[in-house]
Amino acid sequence: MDKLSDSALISRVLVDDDRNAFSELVRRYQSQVRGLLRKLTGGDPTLADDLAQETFLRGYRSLKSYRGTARFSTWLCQIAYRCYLTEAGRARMRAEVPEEVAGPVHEAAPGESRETGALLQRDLARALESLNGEEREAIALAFGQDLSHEEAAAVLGCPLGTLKSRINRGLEKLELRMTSWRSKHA
Amino acid sequence: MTDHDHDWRRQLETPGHLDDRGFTARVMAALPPRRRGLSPARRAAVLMGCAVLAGLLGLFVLPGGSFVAHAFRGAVAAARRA
Repeated sequence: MDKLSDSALISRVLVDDDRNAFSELVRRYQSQVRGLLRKLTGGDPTLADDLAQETFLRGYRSLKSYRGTARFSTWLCQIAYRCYLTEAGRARMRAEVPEEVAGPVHEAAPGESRETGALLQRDLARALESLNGEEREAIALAFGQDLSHEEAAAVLGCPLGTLKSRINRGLEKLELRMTSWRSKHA
Repeated sequence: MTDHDHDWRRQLETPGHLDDRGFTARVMAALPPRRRGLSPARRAAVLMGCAVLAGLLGLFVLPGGSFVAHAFRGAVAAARRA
């Protein structure tokens, strides 16, 4: 089953309601979908996993509408993004974190470098959380998701130029935050 | 760019892998009940049966099929004479 292509697995689900085939699709893309939703929800793993589960359930129900024009992963990311907007509530999720609240989550222990993987990851998640919704969404989709910028723009439903400017603004803010935290705790 | 810049940019760009940890099983358990469909062989047999039935019905009901009824009556009459 794990050697079959996505389209072969999808056909099996559509024709025979093959649960093993669908389970293989979930296994293949769970990390990508959950990772995206974690970034979108500001690093909340419980909410992200609930939304990821809803994403796959919606995907199962609407699999007939998948035309194969985009990659299956892009189609799933689109559903995940809609789940994020619908289920979590756009206004609540997009509320900006006040500047003074945003800060590194974890203080480095003596001898521990801020560049240590886990620490850096947490700081980055916190910095991402401090961006406004549009910038966070653009960066969450365009980096570390195996999506091209064109695909990310399609998921967000915005022009490519808009996506790029959101990314640039977001990266500038991230750089400022990460640099200032680093200089405070160096 | 400093090493630090490279580090957080690399972190951002690296697709981190999340272990399944029962996620797939939870999704599968939440799926709606399996739809009960006919097996492909039964589906074909039902389709074939419907097609034959519709053909026979068409022959006897529609005017175009009256020659069949006429031939049937002729055959019965010939059998009686014999």
